Amino acid sequence: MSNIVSDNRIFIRNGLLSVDLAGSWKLSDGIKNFDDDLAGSFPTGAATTPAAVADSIQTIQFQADSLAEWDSSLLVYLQQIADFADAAKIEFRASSLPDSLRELLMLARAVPEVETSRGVDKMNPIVKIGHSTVGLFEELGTFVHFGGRAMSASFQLLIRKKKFRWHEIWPIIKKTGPEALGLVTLIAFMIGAILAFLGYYVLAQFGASIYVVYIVGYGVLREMGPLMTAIIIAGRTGAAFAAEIGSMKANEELDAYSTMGIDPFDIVVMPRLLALFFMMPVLTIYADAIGIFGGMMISLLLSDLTLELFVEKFTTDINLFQFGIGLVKAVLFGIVVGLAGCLRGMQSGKSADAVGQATTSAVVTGITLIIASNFIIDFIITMMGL
Amino acid sequence: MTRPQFEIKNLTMAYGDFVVMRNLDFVIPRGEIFVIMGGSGCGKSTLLKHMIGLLDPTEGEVCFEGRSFTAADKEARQEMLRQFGITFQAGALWTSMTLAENIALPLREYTDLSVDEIKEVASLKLSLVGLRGFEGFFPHEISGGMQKRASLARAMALDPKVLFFDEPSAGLDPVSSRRLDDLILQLRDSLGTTIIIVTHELQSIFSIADNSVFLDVELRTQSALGNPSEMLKNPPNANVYQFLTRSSESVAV
Ligand SMILES: Nc1ncnc2c1ncn2[C@@H]1O[C@H](COP(=O)(O)OP(=O)(O)OP(=O)(O)O)[C@@H](O)[C@H]1O
Ligand SMILES: [Mg+2]
Repeated sequence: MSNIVSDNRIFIRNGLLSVDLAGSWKLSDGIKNFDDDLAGSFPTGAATTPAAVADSIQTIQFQADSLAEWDSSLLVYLQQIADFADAAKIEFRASSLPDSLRELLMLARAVPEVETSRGVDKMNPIVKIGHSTVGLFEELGTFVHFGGRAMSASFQLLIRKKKFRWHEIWPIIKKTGPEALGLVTLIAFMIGAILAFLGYYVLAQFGASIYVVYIVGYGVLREMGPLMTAIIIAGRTGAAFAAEIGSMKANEELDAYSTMGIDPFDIVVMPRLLALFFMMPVLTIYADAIGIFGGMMISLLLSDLTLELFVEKFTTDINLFQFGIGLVKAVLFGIVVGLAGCLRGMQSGKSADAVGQATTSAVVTGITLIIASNFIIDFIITMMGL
Repeated sequence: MTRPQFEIKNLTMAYGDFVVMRNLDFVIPRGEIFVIMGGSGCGKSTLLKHMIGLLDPTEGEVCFEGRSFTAADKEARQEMLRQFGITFQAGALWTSMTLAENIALPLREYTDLSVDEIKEVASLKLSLVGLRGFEGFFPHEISGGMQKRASLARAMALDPKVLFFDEPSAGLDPVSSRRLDDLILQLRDSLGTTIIIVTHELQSIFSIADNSVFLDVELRTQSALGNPSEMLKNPPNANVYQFLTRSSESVAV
């Protein structure tokens, strides 16, 4: 039998692998890796897989005389060894461990009792529509305060005082974006078409029906593209935000964050706001394209416009600036919807009923604020003569 | 010996004008299993939330290792909180994360462990509560009792000095509840963790508590303090006796 003595804590002699646990074991110092230690006690290049050492080692035992303080990091290490012993079918001499350590390890390795899992469906509060908007203006203050917090948090993200939580943001982006595409397509197409109907009806009376291209172009890019996308997102995503956050609150999940020193605002609200901040412009560009396509179909059908003429007029007379206004609106609406949803969720009471109310109120607040801010923006740009 | 882990000094707790309890006064030494007991709605969870700083006292203060929680600034509080592990009455697992991710989050926040190391710690914690192999499950995919245990595993993530449990065995079958009691004793014995439990399971109370406080819903204050078995032998008052013997005589409910 080989007599290999290593420079670390593993000694192998006559088929007995002895692990010296001397020193202190703290999670804050990281976790030692048994496989590495084992490899270190063999000549370089020798295979140390369980199968490879099964012949040369019969027993693993421990030397704990100079073990100082320890925590889970030691348990993890012992778990690794025990797993290794199981895989190699080597005897694991737990009796050589101190009592308290052995008992915890045995507890960890006890086979869990059989338990059937119970499917608990998450409550999906039905969106109740038509709630009164009384008191909305009184709450404007709360809303502004909430928005201010979001701004300061964004600032802290920018100067890297806070972590950017991609881990949390990404799933929300996936949920808000792609899943809304179907609905956005349908609505945007019809909105474009409706603008074309309206434009044709009015303009045909003046024999100017070919100008319907401007109604469609300006209408979709400046107004209806961002507006309808925002309303869809308020109904889908804003409501979902309120419901999710509300039920997290009811479930004390937000308290759990606070007590771990994580501000719920940072981990629950900010990722949602950022997700919408990124997704709204993207969805709006898509809605613009579909809306213009819908408007074009109807225009070609009703008026004397040909495809070439439509495209020519559209590309020469409608500039990127119109599209830019729409995008600015989209970003703003995204923030508004996100704030409304998250604020209502955070304000929610702890019962299922309260969560339902929060959801409704998120949609009402969201849509009201979208339309109000659209009004204000239009007012301002019109006054500025843009 | 050293300072007690917790000192509750003349604490009055209220929600607005509604006073839940007043003049609470007791200490919890290090390494003790301390039970907060009392009838439903008497303010046990409220007391727990005062001890972890989620709610602020109306009067009096809570001290952790000699330092006042109440007077502490945000940073000092966070530092104290980092030494606590808490399981809430409602479980409070983060529903959008798997069990392993739930446990990983505090480790990601507060340690420099690598992703793989975190995974291992998470598995270890889950196996300690008998949930080995459930790492990839979401909270809604496991039973209520399993959720309780998973939230205990999360509370233990950072090897806290103090563990708080709000009704750990409510909703557990007797066997699981027994196992949980064993685990609690085990944690205290091997890691020296101070454990503070809210419960009204008599069996747990008698088998694990070193000391306890009884919150009397009628008097709106603590009406007994000490080892529960001693209390049963020498009941300090009728309400405690009724509570500890499950007797319903003359209890106005
Ligand atoms: N957020 C709150 N706002 C107002 N009152 C509250 C609030 N939470 C609890 N209360 C009231 O405070 C009292 C104590 O509640 P608490 O949840 O602490 O009771 P408990 O002893 O934990 O009860 P249980 O055994 O049922 O969990 C109850 O009367 C309850 O109605
Ligand atoms: Mg309670």
